[in-house]
Amino acid sequence: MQNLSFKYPDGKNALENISLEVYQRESVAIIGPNGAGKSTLLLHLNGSLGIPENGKPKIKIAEINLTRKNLKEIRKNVGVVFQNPDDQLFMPSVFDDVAFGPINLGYPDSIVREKVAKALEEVGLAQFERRASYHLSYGEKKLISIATIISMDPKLVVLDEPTSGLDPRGKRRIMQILKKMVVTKIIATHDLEVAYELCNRAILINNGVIVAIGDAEDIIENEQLMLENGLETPLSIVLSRKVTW
Amino acid sequence: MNITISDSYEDKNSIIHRLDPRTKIICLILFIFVVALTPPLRFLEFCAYAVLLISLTLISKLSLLKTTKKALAIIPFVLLVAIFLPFLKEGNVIYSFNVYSLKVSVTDAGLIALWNSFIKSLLSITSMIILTSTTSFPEIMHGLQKLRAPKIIVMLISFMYRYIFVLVNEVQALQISWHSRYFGKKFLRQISITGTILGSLFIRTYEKSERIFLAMSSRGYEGEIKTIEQLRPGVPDAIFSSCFIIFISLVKVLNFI
Repeated sequence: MQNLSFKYPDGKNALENISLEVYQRESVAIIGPNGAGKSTLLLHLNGSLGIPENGKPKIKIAEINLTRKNLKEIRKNVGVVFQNPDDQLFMPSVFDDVAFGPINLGYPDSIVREKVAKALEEVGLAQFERRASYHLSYGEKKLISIATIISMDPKLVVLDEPTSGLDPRGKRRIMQILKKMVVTKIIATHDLEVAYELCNRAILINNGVIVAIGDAEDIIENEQLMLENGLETPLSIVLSRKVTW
Repeated sequence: MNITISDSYEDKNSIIHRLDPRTKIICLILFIFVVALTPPLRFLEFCAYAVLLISLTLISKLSLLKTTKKALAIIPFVLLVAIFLPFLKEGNVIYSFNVYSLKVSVTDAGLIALWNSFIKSLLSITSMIILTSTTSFPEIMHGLQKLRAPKIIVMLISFMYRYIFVLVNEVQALQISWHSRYFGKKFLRQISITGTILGSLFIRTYEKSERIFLAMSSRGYEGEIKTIEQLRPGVPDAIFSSCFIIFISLVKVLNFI
């Protein structure tokens, strides 16, 4: 992916004139309080909430313009992991769920099997193929959700609150997996520790408007800015800065 | 909060568990047809079918007691439907008694009809229980799909099964939050709250379905759910189905002699 320029006015004013660029292999955090428009922004990245008409707004991913004609190509390149794993996992078994994307991409059976095995291996749940999605724990569901996207080999992975509702161990596990993935990542979260550790850049949005774009550490360490936008610099970061100084 | 509802599948390793689901589904349908078409007074034949089911249960390493218990759970339903048959069918009166001025009599044809519906539903249900205990739900769905069951129905059942757990959890959460703020009394007002709960449940389900659809189309869904072939019927399937058919035919033939 080279340039993602992104600009649109949403009907409900959930987002206003947002323009941003994300570079290849970059990890970008979209941070903001509840209802800031993070999820809305993410869903626009693969045309889930309407497709631009007449080239306005302009959304370009991996040199492909998001249009009705290119929708399939875009969705091949953009993998979205939804916040609620029960939305993400809709097939009766884990295997079917992870295989859903690759099958729709038209891979032959043997490759589908390979991709499923590899994706499950990557999230550390290799033996889960035959399990039923509804019998998994919440943490396992979150991991399988990520596997359903890994199996599609997208160029851009978009994650909506990947660590919400998880215990520290589950959170750590997800963060390790995301760190290992060498793709472009856009992560929406209000867990700033996650953003701080995983992302090099951060985009702060509030009320549908971009408040700040910049180096993730700079933005998150700016306690004043965080408080003004309904967030809070994590105590761990505040303390560690005091200690090193 | 997560309240699990048990489904009847028991993960064990037996010959029956490893059979292709299609083999099991076809044998089940065949069995139900044969049982349903057996005349009610062929007691020996019913005994033979019962023996067949018992041995299948044992081969599947299922507990006989548990299976019987599950099967007996349907008795109330059968009774509900069939309890009046002995009194309503015309035939030779076996026994009669008076309820106030009303004369009630039990006929032989009626008793046979009751026996008929009882034994047939019991045998059919037991065979279904064996199927669902030895075949996981996704496997049954795969089997049905491969047997050309209407796609939309298979899809409906799959989704229903996938989300019934989510839905029940949601209902329970709503109920708990209601009860934790309800201190009794004002019964009529509570009824209207049930309505509100149902309404909010409906909206939640509707929104959920929209999100699921988004998740599906994000991963390339275009109106048809495709799965890859995971089933390979093998020698055990051939052996099992031929044994099954031979047994049933044998029972039929022996009965005619």
